[in-house]
Amino acid sequence: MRRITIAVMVLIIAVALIVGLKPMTPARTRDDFAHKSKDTAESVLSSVQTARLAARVGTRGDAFGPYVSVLMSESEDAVAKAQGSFDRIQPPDAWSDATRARLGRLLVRSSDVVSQLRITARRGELDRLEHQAQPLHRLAARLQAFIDDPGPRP
Amino acid sequence: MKKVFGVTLGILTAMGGFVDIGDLVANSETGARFGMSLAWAVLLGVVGIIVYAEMAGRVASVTKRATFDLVRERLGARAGLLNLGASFFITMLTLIAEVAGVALAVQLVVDVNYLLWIPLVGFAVWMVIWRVKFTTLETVFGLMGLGMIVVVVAVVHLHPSWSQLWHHASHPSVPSGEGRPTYFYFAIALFGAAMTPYEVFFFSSGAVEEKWTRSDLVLNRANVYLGFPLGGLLSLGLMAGAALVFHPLGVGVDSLSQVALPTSMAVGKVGLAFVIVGFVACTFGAALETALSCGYTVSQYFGWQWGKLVKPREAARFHLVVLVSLFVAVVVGVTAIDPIKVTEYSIVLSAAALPLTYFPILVVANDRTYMGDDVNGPFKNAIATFYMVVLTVVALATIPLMIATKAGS
Repeated sequence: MRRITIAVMVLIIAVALIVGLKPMTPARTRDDFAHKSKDTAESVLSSVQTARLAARVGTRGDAFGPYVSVLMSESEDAVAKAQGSFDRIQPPDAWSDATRARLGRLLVRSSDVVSQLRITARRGELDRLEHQAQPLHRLAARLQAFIDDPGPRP
Repeated sequence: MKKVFGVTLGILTAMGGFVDIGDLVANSETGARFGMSLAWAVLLGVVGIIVYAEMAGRVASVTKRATFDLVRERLGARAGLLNLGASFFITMLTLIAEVAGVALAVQLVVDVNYLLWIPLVGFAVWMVIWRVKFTTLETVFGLMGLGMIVVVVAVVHLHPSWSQLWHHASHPSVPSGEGRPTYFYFAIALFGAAMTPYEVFFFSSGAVEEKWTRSDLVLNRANVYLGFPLGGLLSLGLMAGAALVFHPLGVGVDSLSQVALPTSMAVGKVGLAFVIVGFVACTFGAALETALSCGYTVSQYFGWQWGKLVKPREAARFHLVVLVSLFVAVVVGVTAIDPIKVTEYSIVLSAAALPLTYFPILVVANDRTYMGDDVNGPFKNAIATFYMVVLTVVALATIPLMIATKAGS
């Protein structure tokens, strides 16, 4: 009896650990796809805003070059990870196709800008970062608009 | 004068040593996501660790025996073994997170991938444990950890609306877009981060190592009653910084580099330098404590000779456990497992196992055959019993909440 109890406890903890890794599951319905799209947009918005702040501290001389470079690299990796996971989700219908296209454009643009910021930071040209990060302001607004109303362009 | 200096040093050390990778991540993450609405969970955890660390220190001073030594005696071999398994697993997870945490902090200075630093960090931790005196390592890393005070300075420099911060902290509510289960899951994470079991293993074993007696109870109380709350202030500073900078922008904290960003924005390069030194000290100090705690728990359970004050030849098995634990931490760390995820797991699973650690301390602290006249008073028992109920509820709720919220996602 005690062994069964221990085995059940170990199983429950294992399930909890696996669930905690947040594996990307398929989207079977439109709502499910919208929910996953919104999660992706939130994740990318977080990285975009982090990159904006990093650019600001870099250009204003409030941070060391290597630190800004690490922030940019991590933001870039996070955008790429979210983009990769989102690309693998099968859209279940035409509405989802349009949603996918809308968010996909935002993800590609975010990735491009953040990658460029990372390159600039690695070159030590910190004074150029804030100027280069200007498109992120508009991208952040568009990502926020998507989060507020996920779906094809209204 | 010497005594006053000793007490002051102890307080500063306890304050600097309070924060570890779990506190760094959990406080910033919750500040970014929930603003100050989970500040109550930090306060609850700080009071809890004060109550039980004081008890553990008192038990060690009076009985000259550390926590795990008494766990086996009071719970018996089988229940003690279950306790050992759970505690060791969680302390091991914490050790992995701390070693990776030091490497991540070093990466912020040199921009070389943290994976390359992990083996060096593991070696450095082992060397310090092997070569440096107990009091020296406690004092040096505790005082260096005071660099973290800059996070509180940063909050002041961010010119917050204090009344608004206080309102959010004193009128906790679930922010829109967040579910109640997620809110309580993160409350548990903060509580677990403040009451991590290794803290009492280390604290009580340290008291035995430093040969504390009844006359050291003043030092024990000063460390715990002043040092820990001031350490809790650092935790709230991290939370407030993240709440002010990240929360309005929708930024989620999932890396150590982000934790330093509010300080960098508010205080500039000097602040950033202080906070990174603080990161290194806090995580390195905690890596030392967790590595030693691995050795302490196993050795105390099996009744082996243990401790840094004993010649390594006479405590060979203790040092072997420490060495193997560090080796495992390095091996797991270099597999590129996400150190922040490991940290999140370690603090949440800590919460699930808290009663296993704290219940035996409460029992022994009430046993006159061990404690003589230094048993708990009625007031202390009332608080400790209240906390035991909280710990039990938290332990029962942790895993279901972890599954229901997909670990807070």
